[in-house]
Amino acid sequence: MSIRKNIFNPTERPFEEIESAATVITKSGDNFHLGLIYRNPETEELRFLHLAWHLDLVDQDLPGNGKYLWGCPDLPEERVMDIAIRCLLVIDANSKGEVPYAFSYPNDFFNAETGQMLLGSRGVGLTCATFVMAIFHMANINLINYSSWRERKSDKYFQQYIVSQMEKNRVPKAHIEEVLKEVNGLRFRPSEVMASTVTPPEVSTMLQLEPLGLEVQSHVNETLNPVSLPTMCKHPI
Amino acid sequence: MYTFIDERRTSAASIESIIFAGDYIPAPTQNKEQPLVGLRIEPTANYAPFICQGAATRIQVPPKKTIHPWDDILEIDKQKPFLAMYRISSRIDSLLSQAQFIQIERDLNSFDITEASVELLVSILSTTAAAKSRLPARERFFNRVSMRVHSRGEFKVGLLDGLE
Repeated sequence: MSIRKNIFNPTERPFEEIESAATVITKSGDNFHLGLIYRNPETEELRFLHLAWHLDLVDQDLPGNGKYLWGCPDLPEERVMDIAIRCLLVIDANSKGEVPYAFSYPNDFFNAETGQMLLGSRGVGLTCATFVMAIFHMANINLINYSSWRERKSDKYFQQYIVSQMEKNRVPKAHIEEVLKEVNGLRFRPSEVMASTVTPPEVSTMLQLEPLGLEVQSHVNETLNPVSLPTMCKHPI
Repeated sequence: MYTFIDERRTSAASIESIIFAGDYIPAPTQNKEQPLVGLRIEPTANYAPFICQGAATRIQVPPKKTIHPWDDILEIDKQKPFLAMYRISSRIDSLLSQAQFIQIERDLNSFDITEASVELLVSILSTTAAAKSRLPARERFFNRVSMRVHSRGEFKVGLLDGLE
């Protein structure tokens, strides 16, 4: 299965083709970054929603061409429209954008009824990729088969790197202590989550998504120039 | 399906008000031997009250359309189903956050799914899914939606997955 045919460059297929929602991926430095483009049903405007960094959920204008690749969820359009609606509910409920960054599981991170965060027993925070997964969860769509996922050393290094960046950026110690408890090497990479969104729902295991994620990374590397995130995020993930 | 009104139990004034409300349909048959009396028929009026002398008179009126709390959203749904999805989600979310489960149950039970778009039905199911343990009526609602999309050829693979 080649995934490239499901991921588009806006210079060839503009964002305006997105009917209601899509996932977008880019590269910043050595890392990949994932977000969502959704259409606001009130204004019919396309917006870009992503978790840029700790307490920095960003709802902004579309990125320029050549910065991100996009793909439509492989779902009936009615369900994709529902994803756009969930984006709005989360924005409405978290208007200050203060979504913490951590490595929690995304299921039930947001209250599906209100869009508010269920912090505490449910989780500490999300990454850019698990934020996208959390939105899909709200729309009752599970992208990943969690029981199939395994720890990878490189992911543990990445998580440790994030903790070091949090310390440098003076993220409160109490939060860092909570994040440290989640450093275990279990990580859903942006490229893998991107792959899970643009393939059929039955493509959900690590065995299936790991190679597809690598293909997404190659596609991004060959197509895009690295970008700087337009937010306070100094160390994008 | 019509409601029958017995003039012996219904005053002429109230019958007239029903007629003037615009929801009056003349009875299909009349006993021609019995002269019509009662409310005067104006030549230009597009209605005809039939009250028969000495007999129980039946006036046929259509049932009053029940007002449903989601009727305004159904109107939007006819033109803009995507916007209707957002409105219904916001409204149900608001009820859920106030723990108004009985109200949602009532709304689900009385909602006419034949008039709604598939998009709107998906949105209702998606929004109520997290609270399904507190909404017993939702299971029946899901079954109604499932039957409808299948019977109308609107079903697609994945359309209702995860929304049971």
